[in-house]
Amino acid sequence: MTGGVNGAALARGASDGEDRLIAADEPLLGLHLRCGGEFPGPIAIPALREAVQRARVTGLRLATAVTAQDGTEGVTAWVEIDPPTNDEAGCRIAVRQWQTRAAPAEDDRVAARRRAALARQTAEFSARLDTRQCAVVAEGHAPDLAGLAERMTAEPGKPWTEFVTIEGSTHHQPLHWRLLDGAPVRIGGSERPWHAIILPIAGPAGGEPVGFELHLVSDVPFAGPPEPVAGSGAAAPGETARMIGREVAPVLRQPIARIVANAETIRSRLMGPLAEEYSAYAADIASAGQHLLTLIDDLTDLEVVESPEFRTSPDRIDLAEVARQASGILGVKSRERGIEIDAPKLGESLPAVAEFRRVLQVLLNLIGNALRYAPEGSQVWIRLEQDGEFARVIVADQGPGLDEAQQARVFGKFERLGRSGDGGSGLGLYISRRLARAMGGELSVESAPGQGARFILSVPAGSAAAA
Amino acid sequence: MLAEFAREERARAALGVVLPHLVSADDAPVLGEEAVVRTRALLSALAADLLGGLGEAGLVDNHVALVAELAGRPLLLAHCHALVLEGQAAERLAARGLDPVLSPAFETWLAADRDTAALAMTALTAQARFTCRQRRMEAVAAELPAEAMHEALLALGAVAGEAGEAAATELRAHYDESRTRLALLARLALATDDPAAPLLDPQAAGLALFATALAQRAGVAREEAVLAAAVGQELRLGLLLRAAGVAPGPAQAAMAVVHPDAELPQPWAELAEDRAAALLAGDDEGAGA
Repeated sequence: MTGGVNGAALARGASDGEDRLIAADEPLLGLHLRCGGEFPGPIAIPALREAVQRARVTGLRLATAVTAQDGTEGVTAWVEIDPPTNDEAGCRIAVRQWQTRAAPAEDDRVAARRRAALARQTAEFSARLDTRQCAVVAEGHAPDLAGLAERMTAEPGKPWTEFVTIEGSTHHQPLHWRLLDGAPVRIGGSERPWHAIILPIAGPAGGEPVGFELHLVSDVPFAGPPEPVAGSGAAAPGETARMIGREVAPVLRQPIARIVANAETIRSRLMGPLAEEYSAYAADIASAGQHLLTLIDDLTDLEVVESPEFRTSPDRIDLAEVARQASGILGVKSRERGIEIDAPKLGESLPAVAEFRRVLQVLLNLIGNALRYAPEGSQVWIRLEQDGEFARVIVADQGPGLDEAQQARVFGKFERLGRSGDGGSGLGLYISRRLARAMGGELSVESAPGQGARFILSVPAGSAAAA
Repeated sequence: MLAEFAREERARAALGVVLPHLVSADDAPVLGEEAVVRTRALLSALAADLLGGLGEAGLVDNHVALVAELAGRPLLLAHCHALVLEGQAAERLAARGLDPVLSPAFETWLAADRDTAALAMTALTAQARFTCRQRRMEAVAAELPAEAMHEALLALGAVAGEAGEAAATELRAHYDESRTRLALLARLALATDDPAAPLLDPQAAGLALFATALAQRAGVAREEAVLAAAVGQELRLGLLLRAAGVAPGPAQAAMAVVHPDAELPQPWAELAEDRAAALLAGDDEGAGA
């Protein structure tokens, strides 16, 4: 009826004589609901309501752009509205175009600032690099990194990459900073695995960076000076218990990282064209390798939290900020999965006494699980509440939920609840609960099958004045 | 009688405001003789088109009254005036080599994916028809935006009685805003709205699409963006470009295309977006000192 250019409608809807939405496809329906509408009920998208009203009153077939905000994103839709006919008192709505503007530039800057703040807070080694990636100043905050800082500042003309081993790379020249950002790094004198975070320092005109901040971060805390090799050869009990983190993990990480890096190279066809199947195999190899790396990380963490001398170092933190950071870090993954994370808004705050890094680790685990098991298009809510002496973060999803038997088992070691092949190790929740308890708190779950799950992390509350 | 006198009163009140501009058209070409005559011609053509269903006799009997009735509806009048200004600006730019119909952006879209190409082709055809009609001082009701169409149909019913009402019902039933040039341009601007699409570069987009995109981004009616392309409204274009968030460099470039001879107070391109928007809205407080 309207000619070829209009093409097929993306979605259709209908209103009644009182401008109530009585039929709607997605994504129109979703936007209406997110704008606070009921279905069926008065049209809640203000611009659409106005256009429908206009079509009804004038009796003219309208075509117009409708713009709406639904909290996390802006939507602009092209709608065409058929006025009422003799048979129908309401209008018919056809949506021809639908554009969402997620993550505007402002959000990207917030995310970058958050990442920078996180790197600066957790780094155990920091350096200011010049444009050639040579250290101008360097400082190690952990005992096993003091030597590195000294070596770097002693030879100022050498790029930082000469003082460390970049896993999976045989380049000696420093690569482009974007390729080194996030790279796994080994450091002489330190047993721990590290990774590099490189933050460019923007030039005056927003052009090439005028220098970089280099931060080295490790997931494994410094465990004290290495024990001198005892003549008897018999390892102390504490040391046997830390075997994976100290001995197995470093040996395994390097070859697996190389497997992953090479598989990624093949998968992305960097070295030339390749049949689709082989590229897919390479993707499988890379993801299996990634899984192994995660497993090693989990096993290392497991050792740490199970060791009798494990302590956390509590600090005054803001749970809202940790939650925002966790949701920022998982932003890409959530967009991939089409799941929206509803994190505490800027300005919300809930003081607590806990270790920032450990709370972040627990939240990343909880939100990561929610993203993995909840259906596409659902939401994950992060809520804060204070209950007497405890501050709580609640991560709620719209996944399949857990029955009582599953709830009893879910925090068990290597518990997979019958799942397999999804990259989980069955250690995440076990480790998370140990971390929560080590901080004087608790991690628990409330759920029912089909109702989603609410994981509740409680840690000692902080006083508002001190936060 | 009261209505008659009210019309005479309005004319008297307008004298002091409008007459100086009409007489010395130099400082306000938007009220120049050519613009006024062309606007009247469009209203006349529009009235003839609306009366098309009433036969020869209906046309003769009602034409003069309908033109007057249409001219008395500010929204409709402003729309027709903007069409005239757009036509004039397009001719002015055409003299400097900017095609009033086929711009570089259209050429790109015609070679793009099927949906975009089909939409671009339809918009292009509508734009070609518009250019042709402007040169002949013609206008048709089917090309009016819905609000102006509504006014026009009310006018038709008011002037031509029962026959007019019947004709209006017929025209109403056949009207489809999605097929108008302005809706097609708006939809095209929306469909190709990515940072790479040079919609706010008049050289690349062409004047028609530039005006549509500028109005969308700056949040004003398209008539206002068209007005800014008229001679004597240079600073308005500058403010709209800033309000639309165009960076100083590209804003200067756009200005150089549309108003190459403009001599503007220098800091216009550096004006903050919200201040430009406040000035346009006539909000002196928000615009600061």
